[in-house]
Amino acid sequence: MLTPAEKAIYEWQMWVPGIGEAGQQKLKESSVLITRCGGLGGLVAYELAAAGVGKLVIAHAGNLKPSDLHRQLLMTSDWVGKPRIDSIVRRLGELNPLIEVLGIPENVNNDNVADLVGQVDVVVDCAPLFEERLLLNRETVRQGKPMVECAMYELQFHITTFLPGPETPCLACLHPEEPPSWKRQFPVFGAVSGTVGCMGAMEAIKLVTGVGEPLGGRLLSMDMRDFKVMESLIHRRNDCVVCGN
Amino acid sequence: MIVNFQLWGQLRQAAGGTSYVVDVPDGVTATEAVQALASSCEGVRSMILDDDGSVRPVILIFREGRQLETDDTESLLTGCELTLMSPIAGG
Repeated sequence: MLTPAEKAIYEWQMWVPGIGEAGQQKLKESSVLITRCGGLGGLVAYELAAAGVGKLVIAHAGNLKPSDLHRQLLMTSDWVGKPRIDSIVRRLGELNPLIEVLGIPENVNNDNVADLVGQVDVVVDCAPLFEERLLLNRETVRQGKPMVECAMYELQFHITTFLPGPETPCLACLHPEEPPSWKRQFPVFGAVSGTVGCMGAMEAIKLVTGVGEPLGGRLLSMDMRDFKVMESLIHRRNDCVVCGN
Repeated sequence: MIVNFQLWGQLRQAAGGTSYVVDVPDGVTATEAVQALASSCEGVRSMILDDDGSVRPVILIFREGRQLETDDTESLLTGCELTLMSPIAGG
């Protein structure tokens, strides 16, 4: 049951057709894994905390660097040199103390991925390295969990959702191997990561509440240089080593 | 015949622009057109092709809003547009 305090906080979003108290209760009972929680994942986490997702599991290692600050909005300039995850947990708690935030000071790896995915209903992939993304993909397919896939570069971004079952591809269908040209550091604006982060959060909210139509089998791309939008149908590979036959 | 490419991801910087035009023989497939692009544009070659000249499986090819497989055998028509997307991630 929602408390009076929760009803007061979430009133505006409960007015959205299809949400109401029942939809808000679904959000309260839901759990989402966000990895990592930088420029992109930070906005996913912030919006999901604000929306009242009951449990956020956040995996993010390392200490804050000056070069993080232009896009990682859960950080503060006085925190440079200190663990990012502490700032993330603190800022989310300040925004919404009614939810549970579990901060893991690690990135996704072979040892923790099964446990991390096993704790949640929905995964949002925001990692910068394909090694982590493909690992997370393999585990979400194995556990039958949906994964929202968010990515960005320069002024461009794209987003899609991989749903359990045969209807949609998985990440390995699109990118079966680590792309040799991709590097962890790349050009991007915080406004770009923030935009796709908010869209990733909305996608997770849709998955939890059942409102709207998730981007299963569709890749939505945008170039913010001219706001050109492209929606493309993407499909499963029968020979995919992760989800194929 | 002419094939117009729209480039996304790292391919743009590598090619020096958002689009690229390639003149190819009539009747080529999408994969053959992509290989022709890689041959004519040095900046994107290693991103698109692997060591044996095959299109890397991480490169996404779209035509009229639909993803194409690298073994798609349909011949292209002159003036058609293909979209190429290289992988991107978060951070």
